[in-house]
Amino acid sequence: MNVIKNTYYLTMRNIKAQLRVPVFLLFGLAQPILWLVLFSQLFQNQVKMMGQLAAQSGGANPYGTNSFLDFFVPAIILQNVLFGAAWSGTLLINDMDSGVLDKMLATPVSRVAIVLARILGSVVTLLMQIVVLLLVALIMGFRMQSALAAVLIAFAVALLFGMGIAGLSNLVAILTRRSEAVMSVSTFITMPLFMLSSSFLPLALIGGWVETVAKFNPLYWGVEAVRQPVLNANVDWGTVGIAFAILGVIAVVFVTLAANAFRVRTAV
Amino acid sequence: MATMQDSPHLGEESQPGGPISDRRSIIHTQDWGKAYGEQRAVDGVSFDVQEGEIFGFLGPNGAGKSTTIKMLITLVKPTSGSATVVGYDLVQQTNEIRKVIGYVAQEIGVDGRASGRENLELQGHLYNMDTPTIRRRIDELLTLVDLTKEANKLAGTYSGGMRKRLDIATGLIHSPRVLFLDEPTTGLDPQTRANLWDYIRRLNKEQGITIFLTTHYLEEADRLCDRIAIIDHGKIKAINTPSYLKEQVSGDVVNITFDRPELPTDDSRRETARTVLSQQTWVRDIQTADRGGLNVYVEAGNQAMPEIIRLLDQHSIPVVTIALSRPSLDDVFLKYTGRQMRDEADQQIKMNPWGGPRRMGGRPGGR
Repeated sequence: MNVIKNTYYLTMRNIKAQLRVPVFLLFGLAQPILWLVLFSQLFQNQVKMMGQLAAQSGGANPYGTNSFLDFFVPAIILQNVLFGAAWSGTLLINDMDSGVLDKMLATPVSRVAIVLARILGSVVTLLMQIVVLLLVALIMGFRMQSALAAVLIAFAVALLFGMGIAGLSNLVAILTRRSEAVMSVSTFITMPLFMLSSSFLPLALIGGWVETVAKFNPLYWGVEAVRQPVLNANVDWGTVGIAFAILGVIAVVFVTLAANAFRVRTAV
Repeated sequence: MATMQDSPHLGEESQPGGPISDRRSIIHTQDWGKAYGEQRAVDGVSFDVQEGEIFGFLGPNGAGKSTTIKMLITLVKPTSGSATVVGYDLVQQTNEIRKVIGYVAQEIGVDGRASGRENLELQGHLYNMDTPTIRRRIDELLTLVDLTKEANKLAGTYSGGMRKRLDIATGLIHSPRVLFLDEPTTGLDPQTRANLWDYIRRLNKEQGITIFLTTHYLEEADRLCDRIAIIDHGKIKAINTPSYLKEQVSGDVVNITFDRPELPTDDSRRETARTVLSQQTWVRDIQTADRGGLNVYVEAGNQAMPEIIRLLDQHSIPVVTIALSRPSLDDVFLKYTGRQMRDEADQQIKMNPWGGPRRMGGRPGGR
């Protein structure tokens, strides 16, 4: 089928293009690695103390682990996906502004393929970044209880979450044709999503309205789903299932909206 | 089937050797246009292009050339009229058209972060060509545009001229019937421009590809095109071969100037001269020229020149310089539009195909 072939070749082009500007990839990795190092220094003792407190009253550490690193890495991975995917739309706008897109549109290439390839290109590049992040975390002492499940779930969640966010980013790009709009939406959405979740603290320790709001945050579900196999030998597949469902729906919705918007905008 | 005679915009002098109205035309448009709200970028345009010719749209910036080409390559939807390209209807059979045309935009559409070869490969895949054919075509094209040595280097490292050549090569990978070039040499240095003209001519002669180009360079239209259409404010003013059009601008052009550089400019001398000369029966036309002078269109310039000097002397108008030339396309343009091309300032904001304002920064031709 045309769409699939077109998408494949365009995605390869997008990935190669991103890899050939390593500055951006390194820049994208610098922040999560920095946060990983800094936050683990800040919060490691806190997690240990919570563990001791809980042990005294015979309970479990609300973090689910005594290692802040093990608790935090899943969140950092998805944060990387979140921030990275939110930028995807700006790359589409670059092609729009440079004449590359015009050139493509004069060919019989499938319009849907162009958008899909943009989204997939960004997501695949992000997955490559995650490999590096994981390696760095492992070197720092990150350990997974159910390693195989953890890696598989992490990549699956990252893929779905990335497609949803990249879909949204590209939708904004197609509707506004302005990088500034994409970046504004990105800033407006990514920080709150990251903060209003269990990324830094287990929800039980936060409480209040944040706890309620977080349950509606797809990032929260993604992080919890990845945390399951990382922190437990027995994975709670219920949590994982809910996460996949939520992230899957969001991905389908935004990718479809973006592809449709593009088709409509470029129709003759 | 309406012929050019039906079009109210063209006078009789556009007929012989001019517009061809023929079902077998490779491009045919009929009262065709694009309006953005109130503004008509292209207005009731009708023309035919024969297979194998190099056809040019000549006009200043903002005339509607780019909009025309973008409609022909199915990037922009027309709001009126009809058109066919290679026999396919522009609106009903859009995808069929895309398979048989090539397009090279004014701004270079080459991906700087891929090699020349990769650019061509991707393009081939976008046309659903099979890999062996793609490889063969790439080798042919790289030879044609002289990029074989640099094929595996990133296109971002190429010079401007090289990128343009690569751009043209990508437009040809699928052996299109028609190649559309939007302002092909705008912004290029004279050497590159001359080389490009060479490629385009060879392409046309050796491969039989029909070429449709837009330009605001008179020399380009004159040297490259078999026929040109002069377009201004979205309307076609004339269609014919460059030589025919130049011949229609009567005889010779005598250029006279009245101002010495060191003296203040004074239009009164020019206007008096204009009045005096326009009363002469052997003067066919008078237009204001550059540097405050006059272009006087006459039958035989060599006989007119002494007469002009004598007449103006009688009226105490000193002629500072006088020169004789054959009419150029600029004179043709002047005749059909009342303005010289050089006067045109590009004020209009160009819409890009998605209906949003196009970024204006740094692009030659003001698009």
